[in-house]
Amino acid sequence: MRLLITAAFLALFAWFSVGSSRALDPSNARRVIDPVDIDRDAARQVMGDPPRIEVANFEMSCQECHGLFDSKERRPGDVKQHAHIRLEHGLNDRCHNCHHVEDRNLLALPGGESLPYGEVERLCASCHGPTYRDWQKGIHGKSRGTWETSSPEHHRMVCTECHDPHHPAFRPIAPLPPPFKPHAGEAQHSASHPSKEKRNPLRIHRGDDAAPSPAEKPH
Amino acid sequence: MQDIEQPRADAPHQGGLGMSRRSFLRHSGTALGGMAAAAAALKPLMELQDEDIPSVDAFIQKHYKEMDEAEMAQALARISAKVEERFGIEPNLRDIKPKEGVEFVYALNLSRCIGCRKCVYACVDENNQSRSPELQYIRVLEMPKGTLDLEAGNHDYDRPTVPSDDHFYMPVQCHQCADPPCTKVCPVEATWQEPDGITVVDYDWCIGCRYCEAACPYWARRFNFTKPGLEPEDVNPDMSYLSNRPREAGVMEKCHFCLHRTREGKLPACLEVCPVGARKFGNVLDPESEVSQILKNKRIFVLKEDVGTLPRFFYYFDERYPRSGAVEEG
Repeated sequence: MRLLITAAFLALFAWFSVGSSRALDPSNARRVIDPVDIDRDAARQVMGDPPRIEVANFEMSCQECHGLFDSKERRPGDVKQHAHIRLEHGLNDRCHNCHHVEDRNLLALPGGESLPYGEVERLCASCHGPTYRDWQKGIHGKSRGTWETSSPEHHRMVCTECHDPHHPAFRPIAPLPPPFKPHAGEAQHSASHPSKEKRNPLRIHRGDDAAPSPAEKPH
Repeated sequence: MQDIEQPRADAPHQGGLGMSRRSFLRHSGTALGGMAAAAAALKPLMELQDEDIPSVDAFIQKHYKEMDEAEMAQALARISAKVEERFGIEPNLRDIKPKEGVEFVYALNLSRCIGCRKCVYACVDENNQSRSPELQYIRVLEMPKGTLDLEAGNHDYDRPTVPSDDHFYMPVQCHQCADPPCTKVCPVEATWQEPDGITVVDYDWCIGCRYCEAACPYWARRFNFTKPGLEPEDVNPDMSYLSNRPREAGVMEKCHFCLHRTREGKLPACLEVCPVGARKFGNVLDPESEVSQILKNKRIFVLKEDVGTLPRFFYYFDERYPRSGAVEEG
C-alpha cells in the first residue's frame, strides 16, 4: 500500500515537472485584432453645406456645374456622371425626391420647400417619423464626446453620418471572431467542423435543444 | 499498524540500529516519496519572478476604502512603477471618485444590434485584459427570432457576415445591479457597489475565491487563472485604480462601465465603437439624458428580472424590426 502511494506521488512529481499542457490550449494564443475593425472614430464623410465635390483637382459646389445645364428628372442609373451612386432607398427611387430641381446645393422637402444640406435630418424625418422622434430624444442613433447631454462636447450624430442616404440600410459585415474555448483543441473554429455542441454558460444542457440554427445540427 | 517489527529473540543479530533491511527500504522509500511530493508542491516557487513577490508596501497596503489620500498616492506610485517596470510604459494612473448626483445606466437596442462583436474587442483594447489566455467582459448571444429564451442563444456563432436574417443579437456584460449578489458573497469585501452604481473590485484585496463569479446570474465576472498575458504594445496607459490597471493572476475582474472614462464624462469604449448606435449610456438621475428618455419612451426589459438583482442594464427595441425588409428604413 505504501509503495503504491509512493509511486503515485512520484508519478505526480513527474507530471508537474514535465509541465502543464499550456501551449496546447487555443485560449493561450494571442489574437491580434486589426485596429481598423475597432476604430472608435469611424464615421461616414458627410457632404458639406453647400455640398462640394472635387472635379479635376478643382473643388466646386454642385450647382457650379448644374447651374450651367438643365438635368432632367431621371433615375440615377441613367446618369453617367453619377454612375457610382447605387440608389437603393426602397420606393424612394427618384433623384429629385430629395435633391432640389433648380438648385443642386439644396435639398427639397416633399412639399417643394428647399432645405440646406446642414438640416438633412428634417428631410429624412418627412418619411421616417418614428425614427426622427426617437432621434430627437437621443434614443435612435449614436452620440459622441460625452454622455452629458447638456455639455457642448455632446454630439448627436445626424442621419447621414451613419447612413448612406442612397443606401440607408447597413450592409452586412463580417463579425469579429468568437471567443476561444479553453481546452477545445484546434478544430473548434474551423469551418469544416461546425461546433457539434453549443456551449453557452447561461444555458442548462438537456439533450434535445429547442430551435437550433441551421448551421448547427442537434446532437 | 506496527511500523517497526520487534526483533525476535531467536533472530540473527541485525546491527546496532535494530532495523531490518526490509524496514529500512520501506521507510526510505516512504521518505523519498514524501520528499518528492514536497518538492513537487514547492516547484512553483522556482518559477517565481522577482516581480511576482509582493513588496512590503504592497503587503501592508490597506483596503481601498480605508486608504487616505497620502496612502492612495503611495499605492498609485507603487503600481505605476510596477507597470513601468513590466511594460516600459509610464501610465496615467489615478483614482477617480464618483460624481455627485450621477447614477450610470446602460441601454441596448436589440433591434439595431447586428452582432459584429466590435464591442467585445474594443473593451479588451481599452481595459488591458489578458490577451493570452483570452479574457473578455462582453459576450454576444445570437438568439433565434421569436424567443427571449436564453437557452436558445449561442455565443460561438461564426458567420461570414452578420446579421443573420433569422436571428437577433443580445450582448451580455456586467449589469451593474442595484442589488448585486456578487458583492454580498465576498468574504473579504474586495468588491462593492459605488455611489454611482458601478460595482468595482479592489484587485489588491481580492483573494480569488471566485464566490462572486458563482453568485452572478449573468456570468459577468472573469477570473485570472494565470498571469494575464499582456504585451507592451497592447497596454492602454490611461488607467485607474478601480478599473483597467493591469491585474495579477488569481484575481477577479469585470466590466466597470469604463469608469476611468465615464467618471470624466467620456463614453464607454463599447459604445464608441458600436457601428449601429445600438448602445446608449448616461445618467439616469438626469431626466433629459438619453437613457432617461429611453426608459420613459421605449419598451424595455432587464435580463432575469425574476432573480431580483435590479440591473442597471436595460434592453429595449423599436416598434418593428428594421431589418425584416432588407432596404426599409435603416
